[in-house]
Amino acid sequence: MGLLQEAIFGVVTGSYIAIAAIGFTLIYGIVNMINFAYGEYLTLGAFVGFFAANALPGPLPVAVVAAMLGGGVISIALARGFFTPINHTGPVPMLLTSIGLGIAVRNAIRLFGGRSARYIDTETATFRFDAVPEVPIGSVDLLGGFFLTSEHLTVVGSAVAVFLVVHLLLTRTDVGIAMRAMGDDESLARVRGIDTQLIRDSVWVLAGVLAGLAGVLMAIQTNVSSTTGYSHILQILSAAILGGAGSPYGAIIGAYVIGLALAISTAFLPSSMTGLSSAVAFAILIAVLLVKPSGIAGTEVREA
Amino acid sequence: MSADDLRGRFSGLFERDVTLALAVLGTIYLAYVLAGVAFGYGLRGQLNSIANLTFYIGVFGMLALALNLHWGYTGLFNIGVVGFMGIGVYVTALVSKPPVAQGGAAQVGGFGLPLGVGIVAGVVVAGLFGLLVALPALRLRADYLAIVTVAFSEIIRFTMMSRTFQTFTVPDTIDLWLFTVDPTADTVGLGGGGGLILNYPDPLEALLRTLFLWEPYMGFVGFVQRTLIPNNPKPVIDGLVYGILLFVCVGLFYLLLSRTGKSPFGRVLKAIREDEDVANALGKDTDRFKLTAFVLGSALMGLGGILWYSSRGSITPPSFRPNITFFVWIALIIGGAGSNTGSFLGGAIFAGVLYEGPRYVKNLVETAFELGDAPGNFGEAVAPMASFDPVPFVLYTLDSVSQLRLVIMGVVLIWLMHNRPEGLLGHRKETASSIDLSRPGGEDASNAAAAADGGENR
Repeated sequence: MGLLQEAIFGVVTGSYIAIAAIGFTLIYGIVNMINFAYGEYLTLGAFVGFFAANALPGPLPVAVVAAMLGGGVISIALARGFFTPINHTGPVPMLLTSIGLGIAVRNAIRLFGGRSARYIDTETATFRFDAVPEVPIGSVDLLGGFFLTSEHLTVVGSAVAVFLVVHLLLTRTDVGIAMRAMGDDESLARVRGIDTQLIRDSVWVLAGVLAGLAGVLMAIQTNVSSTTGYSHILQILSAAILGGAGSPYGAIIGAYVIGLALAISTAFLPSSMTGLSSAVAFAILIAVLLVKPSGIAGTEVREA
Repeated sequence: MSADDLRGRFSGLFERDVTLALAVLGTIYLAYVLAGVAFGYGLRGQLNSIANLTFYIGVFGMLALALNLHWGYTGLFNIGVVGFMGIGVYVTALVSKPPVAQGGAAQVGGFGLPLGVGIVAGVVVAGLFGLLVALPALRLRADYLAIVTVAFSEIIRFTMMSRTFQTFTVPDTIDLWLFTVDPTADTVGLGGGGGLILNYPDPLEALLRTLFLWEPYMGFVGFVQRTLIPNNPKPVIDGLVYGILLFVCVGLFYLLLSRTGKSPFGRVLKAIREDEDVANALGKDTDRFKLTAFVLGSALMGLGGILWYSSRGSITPPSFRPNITFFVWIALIIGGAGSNTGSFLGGAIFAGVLYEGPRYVKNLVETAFELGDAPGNFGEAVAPMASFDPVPFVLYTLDSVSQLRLVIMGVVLIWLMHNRPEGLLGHRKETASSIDLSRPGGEDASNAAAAADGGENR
């Protein structure tokens, strides 16, 4: 398989990580917590999408919308129940709470849903491009024939749509501008008359909607199980931190860096080392944190 | 305040810690024994469950103590505990497994050195990796250090699983500057996804042989066989003696860490936890203190990992998932970060109630009642409830006890963070002072909320 094909896989992976990473980084920047339970939001979104796809008569987009709505409702409910009451205690107790919530929700899903993976039935069209010439360099083929599926296009298209909507939301609407203000300086925002709790709630809803979308996209690509989201949480976290915690634009860049690094290290590493490609993503993360703790896009310096 | 008053207060505190520890342990053991009696366990079953309980109290006590050095004393937010444990036990295995001939069986060999050397090597290498992580990462703030450590522990696990490190071929001779080493090992490695079989001598047997206690021990086993358990008593006794050995190790951890905590070094650590800038301004090189504390704690976590897994026969990468790290954290939070007694008690309560408790109940119920097969999914389990038949539901609950146990742990962690961030046993954090700062009549109220967040200042 050529490098071009791996790069396509990388962009697809990067796309759904990016959608989730935006939500993750908004929570980090505005609620000021690392949410280890965020992977479970994705899983719950994927389950809502799965049940909607089976129960509702409409086409697949209906299930996707249901997953997004479900994700938003779940996110605000969990936040109201578990995170808002201890908002004042600082990042570490919130992080520990999210670890506890993640363990509890993940295993509760497994308890009620069983271990087996579920599949969302989709009709997939595959577009093959076999005529592309091979450009071998050493053992790696730079171009080569490749294929695209309609699922790939759906994922990338949704991601681009999300980037546009989030960009417009953050720059053109009052609530988005208030979110950015709170990310910069919460006390100052409150002094200017922003209802910080309302903004925090809207961030939770937005993050949940994004998690629901990312979860259902993952489910369409692979399957739905209790670890759908959990298996990606470290990649999402890496993308968010890589891009500079709290910056949605940085998170997008970080997600594509992670996605491409995963895919391309699979192409370049000898076959016996493919298991290490996940480790490569974390190694990049650690390297970036050590060289530039504020991340790729960040100007914010968060040192102890 | 008179001198007598002060002395009374000190001895009272000491007695309280010891009696509290004994009371907690006593309650847990009593509950296990009584439950065993009530459900009709035999002597062998009782001793087995006691040995199992002792094992987990020992390992979680040790790991919580080591983590307390990082978080409770120094305020270093390490969620990569399991990485250091894995390094410890993998290095021990690599050093102490007997060598295999080249091109022989598919099994991976080791260097065949004595187990003692392997354990020391494991602890040292875990400490060195602690240095590797801490050297650059300590200047990051708490939640960033958390990310670096959890990513590190996952990198360790992926490395264990990868086929690249599955086997190495060791050259027949290694030329070092002045002399030539001729290792007996030919193929060593981390074993990949299949893990490693720990085919070195049993750690307990090795220890007893070194202490020339093996013959008396076998004599004791023979005595038990003649009097109490006629049918192969050795595994049961092995388990119990290993549990006692672990308790001795917990005692050594405790002594080491409470000496460290009370030393001038430990007081600087607590000062860093309270306010790093102040400690810095007072002329303490806080980076070096943090580094030393992190390396010491990592080495102890390595030792904890060795003591946990080295007697288990084999190790596989899935044992080293971040879940274990979270377990140790829950144990520490239960006991209350910042105090060694609290850490150990947290480990004991976690192991006895949350970790082993549900499994024990399951075993008891399964032994006491002849039960059929559990239903395959939740729907089949609930459906008969409509006709007032709870048996399938109970069966399903028992069958999924490992998930249920994790749900309970998660809920307990959330509950603690919401209601008792200072730990179940109340506020126990030691102050960064060599003298008693408490005033007679009334606790210092400003301390009350800070235990679980390690004094993080916002």
